[in-house]
Amino acid sequence: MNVPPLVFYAEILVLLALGALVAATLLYDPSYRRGQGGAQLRRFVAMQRDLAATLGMSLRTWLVIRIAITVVGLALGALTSVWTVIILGGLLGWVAVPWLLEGRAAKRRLSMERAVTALVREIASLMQQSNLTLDRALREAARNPAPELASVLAPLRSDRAVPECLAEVSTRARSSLADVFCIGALVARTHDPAAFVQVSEQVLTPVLNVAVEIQEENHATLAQQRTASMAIGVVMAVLFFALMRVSTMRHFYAGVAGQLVLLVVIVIYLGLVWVIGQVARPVRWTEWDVDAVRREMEVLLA
Amino acid sequence: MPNLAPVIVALVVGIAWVLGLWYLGAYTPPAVHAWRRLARMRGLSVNRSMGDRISRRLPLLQRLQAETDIGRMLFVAAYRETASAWLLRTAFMAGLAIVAVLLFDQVGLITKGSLSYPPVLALLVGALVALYAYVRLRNRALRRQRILNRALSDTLVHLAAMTFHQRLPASEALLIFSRCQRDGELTRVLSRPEARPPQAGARPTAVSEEGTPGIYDRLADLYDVPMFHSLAGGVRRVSERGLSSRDVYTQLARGVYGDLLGEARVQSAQTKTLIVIPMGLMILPLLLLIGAPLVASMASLFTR
Repeated sequence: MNVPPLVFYAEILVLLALGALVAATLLYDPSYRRGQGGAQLRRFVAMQRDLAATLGMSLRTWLVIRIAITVVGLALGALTSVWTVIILGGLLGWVAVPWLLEGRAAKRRLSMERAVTALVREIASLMQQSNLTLDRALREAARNPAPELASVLAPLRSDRAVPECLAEVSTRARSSLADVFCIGALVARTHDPAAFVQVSEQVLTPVLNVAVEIQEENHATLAQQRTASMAIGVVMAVLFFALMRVSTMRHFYAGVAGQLVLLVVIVIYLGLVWVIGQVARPVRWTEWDVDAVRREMEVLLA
Repeated sequence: MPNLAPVIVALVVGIAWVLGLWYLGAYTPPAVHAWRRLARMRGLSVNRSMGDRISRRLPLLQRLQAETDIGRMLFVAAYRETASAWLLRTAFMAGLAIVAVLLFDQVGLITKGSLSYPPVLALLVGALVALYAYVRLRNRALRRQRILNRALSDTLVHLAAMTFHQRLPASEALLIFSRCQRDGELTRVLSRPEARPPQAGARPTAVSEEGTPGIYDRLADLYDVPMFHSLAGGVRRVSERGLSSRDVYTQLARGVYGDLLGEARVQSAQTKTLIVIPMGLMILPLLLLIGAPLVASMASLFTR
C-alpha cells in the first residue's frame, strides 16, 4: 500500500510527539520545581515590603496604591480604544509606580544608612570615652537619635531586653547595613563588648562609610538616568496622544501593524529601562535573620 | 614502487607496543611504583585523567573544560540530578521543541499545501532550547558561587568578634552564622559530607588529617569559592602559628571588604560610561513611533 508523503510525515511527527510524552512521564520529577514559585512570590513580597517600609507606608497601603494606579493606567489606555494600548496602560501603571518611587526610596534608605554609620561611631566613642557598657551606650545613643533613625531606634528606648530591641531595630530598618550593625552589637555583647570597639573602628566604620559612598554615587548616576528616561517616556506618551488625534495615524495604530509597532516600542522602552537598572546595581550584602542571631547567642550564653 | 604498507603497520604496532609498555609502567623503577602505591593508599596522590593533565598545561583548554563540565556545574548549582540525567532532560526538551515546531509546520502543510517555514528552523529552535538550559545552569552555578563568596565575606567581621577570646572555634562560629543567613546556601554547603570531618573510627587518610583549614581548602576547590581559601588561611594562621584570632579575622575582614569595595568602585565608575549606551538607544522607540506610520503610508503608495 502506498502511503502519501504527507501522511507519512504526519505519522512520524505523531510518533515523535508520543515518544516525547512518554519521556516526559518518565522524566517528570514532581519535587523538582516545588517551592520555586513560592520562593519567587516570597521574594516579590519581601521586595514590596522593603519598598513600602522605605517609603514609610504599610505593605497593604502600598499594594492598594499600585493596584489603583494600574486601574488608572487601564482607564487612560481605554481612552484610545486600542486594546494594545489598554493592556499596556495597565502594565505601565503596575510597573511605572515602583520605578518612579524607587529613587525616593533609595534616597531615604541612603540617608538612614549614613545615620547608621554615624551611630556605630557614636557608640564606639561612648564606650571608649565615657566608659559605658555596650548596652548602656546603645540605650544612650537611641535616646537622642538622628531624625532618620528616630523610628528605627525606638525599640531601644523601651524597657525590653537589648537583644530583642536589636532584632526589632533590624526588622524596622530593613537594611543590610543596619543588620551588620545589629549583629555586630549582638555578638559583641554576648562575647566581649570590647570587640565591638575594635571591630567597629577597624572594619565596620570604614566599610560602612565606603559602602554608603558607593551607593551614593550609584544613586546619583541612576537618578540622572531615571529622570532622562522619564522625560523620554513623557515625550513619547504626549507624542502618541498627539498622533492619535490625526485620523490617518489613528487608523494606522488601530490596525494590526500599528499595534505591533506599539508593542515593539513599549518592549524596547521597558527593556532599556530594565537595562539601565541592571547596569547600575547596588552593592549586595548577605541577608541576615537578626532574630536567629539573637536566638543563637542566647543558646551560646545558656 | 615498493609497498610501504607492511612497514607502516609494523612501525605503528611497534610504537603502540612501546607506548603500551610505558603506560603500563614497564619502564618505571620499582621504587617509584612502591612510592606511588603507598601514596595512593594514604590518599596523598590523586590520579588525574589524561584530559585533566593536558588541560592543566593549556589554560584555554582548562577554561573550556571548566565551562563544559556539567557535573561540576550541577554540583555547584546544588541540582540533585546527575550529568547524564541533565543531558537526557535537556535533549528531551530540545527534542520536544523540535517536534512542536515541526508539528506547526505540518499543520501549515495540511491547511495550505505547503510548508510555512523551512524544517531546519526546528533544529535551530531545538539548539536554542539546549543553549538556554546550559546558560541557565551556568548562571545558577555562578550565582551560587557569588552568594557563597558574599556569605563568607559578610561573616568575617562577626567571626572576628565571636572568636575574640578564642572561646569558640572559627568553624563552630561559622556554622552558627551560616544558620542565621536567610538564603541558607552556606549552611547547606557546610552540612554536606565534604564539609564534615570524618567520623571516629574511620580509616585514616590524608583527608582525615587535614583539619578545618584543609576542609575549607577542599570546599574552595569543589565550589570554586576563593573566600574559603582565605578563611582556611586565616584559620591556619590562628591554629598553627598561634596568632591572635581577633587580629587575624579583623585584618582578613578588612582586606576582603577592601577588595570588594574596590571592585564596587570600579563598577560604579564603569556604570557612568555604560549607562550612556541604553540612554542613547532611547531614541529608537521615539523614532519608531513617529516613523512607522510614515513608512507604512509610503510603502502603500509605492505598492499602488
